[in-house]
Amino acid sequence: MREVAAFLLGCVLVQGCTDQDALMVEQQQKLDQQGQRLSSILGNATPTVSTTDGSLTIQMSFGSEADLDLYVTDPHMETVYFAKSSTRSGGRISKDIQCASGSDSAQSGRGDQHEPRIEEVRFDAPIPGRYRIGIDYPLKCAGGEQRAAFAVSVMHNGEQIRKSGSVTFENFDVVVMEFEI
Amino acid sequence: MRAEYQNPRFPMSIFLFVSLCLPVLASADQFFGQVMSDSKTPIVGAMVTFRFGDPFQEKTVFTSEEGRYQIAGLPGSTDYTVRVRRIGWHDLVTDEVAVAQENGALDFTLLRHTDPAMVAAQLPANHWYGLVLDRVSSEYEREQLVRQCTYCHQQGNEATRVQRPVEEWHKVLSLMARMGGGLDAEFSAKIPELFNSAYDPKTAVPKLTKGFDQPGFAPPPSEIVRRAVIDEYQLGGRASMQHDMIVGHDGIVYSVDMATDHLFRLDPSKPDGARESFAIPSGDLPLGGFGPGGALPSNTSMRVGPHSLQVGADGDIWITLAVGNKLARFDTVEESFTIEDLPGGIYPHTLRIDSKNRVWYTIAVSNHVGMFDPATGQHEVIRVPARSFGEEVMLRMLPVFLWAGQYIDLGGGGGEGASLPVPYGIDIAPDGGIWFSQLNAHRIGHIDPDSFEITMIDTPFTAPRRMRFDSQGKLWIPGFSSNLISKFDIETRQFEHFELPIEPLGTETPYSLSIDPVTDDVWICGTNSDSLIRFQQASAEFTVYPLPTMVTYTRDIDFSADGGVWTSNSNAPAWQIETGIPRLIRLDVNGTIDLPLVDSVGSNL
Ligand code: HEC
Repeated sequence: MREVAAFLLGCVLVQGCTDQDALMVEQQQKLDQQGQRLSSILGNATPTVSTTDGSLTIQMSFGSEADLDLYVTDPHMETVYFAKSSTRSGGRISKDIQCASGSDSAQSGRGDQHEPRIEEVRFDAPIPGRYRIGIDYPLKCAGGEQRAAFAVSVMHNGEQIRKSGSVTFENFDVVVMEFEI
Repeated sequence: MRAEYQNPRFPMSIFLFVSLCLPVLASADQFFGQVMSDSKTPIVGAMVTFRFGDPFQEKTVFTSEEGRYQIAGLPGSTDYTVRVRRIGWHDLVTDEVAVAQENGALDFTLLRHTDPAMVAAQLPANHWYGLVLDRVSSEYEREQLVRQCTYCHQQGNEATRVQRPVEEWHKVLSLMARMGGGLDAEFSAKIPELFNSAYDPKTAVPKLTKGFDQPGFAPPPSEIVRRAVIDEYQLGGRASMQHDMIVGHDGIVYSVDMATDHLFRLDPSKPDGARESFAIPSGDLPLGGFGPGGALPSNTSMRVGPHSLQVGADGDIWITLAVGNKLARFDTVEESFTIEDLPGGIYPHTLRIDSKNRVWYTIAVSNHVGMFDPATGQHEVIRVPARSFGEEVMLRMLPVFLWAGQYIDLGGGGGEGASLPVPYGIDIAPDGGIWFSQLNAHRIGHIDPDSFEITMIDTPFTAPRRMRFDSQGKLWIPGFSSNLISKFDIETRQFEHFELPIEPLGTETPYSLSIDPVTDDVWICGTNSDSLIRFQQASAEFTVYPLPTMVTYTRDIDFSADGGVWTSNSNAPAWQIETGIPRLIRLDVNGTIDLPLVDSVGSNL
């Protein structure tokens, strides 16, 4: 909504809308394609994650041009994310994937620039109820733009749900997806 | 598995720490006994806490000089979980004792901590935060840090005193800044090193536990404090932010949950401390409502953001809906809401009702004070002076910026960014004058209630937050980032300061204060130290009441006719609170408030 408003304002004040329009469509197509590619990476990741042991695994993949952060909120409304690596309900985040040039990347190995760049939250024995996935885009990496593509997947009881999309720099999309188990 | 996009549910149900606390089956409605060390010396000032009910309630008493305690008014015929707590000793919970006496006799033996790290972990957050503040030599930076980092959650609690890789800090700070906790760039760059060195256990633990084996370490509360009884009522869930609370005319307590758009109600006269909640209509507003951009907390459901509340003369509850940009009126009999749209301004904040039943409220982001007269439908939106011409222009342009959706540092979710002046606390003088504070501008202001003319006065201390008049017409103001309360004489325009005595000195962040209508005592939120602080005017004496739950972040205080001092635990995120869920809290100073009479099947006699 706000982006649309900003865009309209830009149209009126700055220039004719046609060029802007075409540019936006082109950018969106690029993001869509990227999102689909990231989603297929997660599709391929399924065999490496056990989905039949009752566990719940949520993954997010993203490109090396952005540092995105995965947030998963459990049915008690407690969140696991990079700054809070577990919940009382047993959720755990694997590692925080950052930009390749991160100053402490050498020691922590976090600045993994090679794709697939995947952040993962896992609940070994998930409590039933509604879960929420949020994605934040706090930092641009080399080549980063205003929007960045992502894909998320939810794996539970042999099923996988996937979704792809994009997030805006310095915007925290707190509800990218909700699901119930 | 279903993927859906409806509103989530907000369970009132609790999540017990089953691994720690197994219930003891006991039938008594009162207990007594002694708390001793394993070497048979009495432990003075231990907190003995009984938990029961669902959602749970906890009642806490302190042990005497001989280590004795006595607790009454429990519901009987129920399971209790008992916890005994004293800094320096292992917490004892009931699965470690095997006693369930019919007559209620119940003794405990505590084990001394031998690991200094565990003792340090028992200290309230302000002790840890003091280590950070010690390392900040610039007064400008210290003030900024205190004002900007402790207004949603404590600093120095277990969740925040974590050493983190530098990159991770940068991301945490980016998120906090977008929520409203912005620091200037130069200072922000120093934070990772500052926090990581201050919170390094190798240096922090020895400092915090120095003298652990000497009597002066973490002294027990005084005999006066030990008379108190503290009741805590679990309220809401892990996404809750019980922002403000109020005691209604009938002794029923109301609290607004800003993050889930609910009004909660607690009837303390019911044996089970009956709790209910009411969803505040949010229309088709998106998450975050009309709030000023930035980032929302990950678990939020806020669309209108009920922030503060007051009781009108007719008993109705008036609520500011901060991000919905509205007022709500709750009819306590019909149990229904009426929503009042506001003609202007952004982020209605704290409110008071004057003797003509007009609702006065600060408007934090757009720098206004609003007035609504329900009798006539009259609205006024009064522009408060900015600090400079540039700021004035910026504030006038705000609606345009917001409409265009551009990100500017408006102060995010809390509407309290460093860059805006932020009209904050408000109260009404006995002569009807309207007084308010401008938090970040370090000023208070007066509004003539008839002509709406404004006068501003600089405060000789930083961050004047929520203020109140006493019965003598003196205005009391807490300095959130200046560790003091100040008494302001509206006639002579003189300020008189009283430094807060919380140890280590200088580490407290008093969010608000309130005046006991009977005694004129000033009660202050010990927001970063898990405490309530009483200031008695005649003797100029402070008394610090420690509260039992770790990470008790308080923002508001009110009083019940029976002498109860009420507050709520409002730490956001709630998951940092010891049990993960907020509470309403009643401090019964002398332990004498009549309890509901309860028979053995738990009904009211
Ligand atoms: C406007 C409210 C607000 C302010 C101001 C604020 N925080 Fe936070 N803080 C939060 C919330 C909410 C979270 C949890 C994040 C979420 O919900 O996504 C959090 C999380 C954190 C965490 C991670 C621990 C956890 O429990 O998730 C740290 C560390 C932290 N804050 C430090 C700070 C510092 C340092 C400052 C000052 C620069 C600050 N905060 C100011 C609201 C705030």
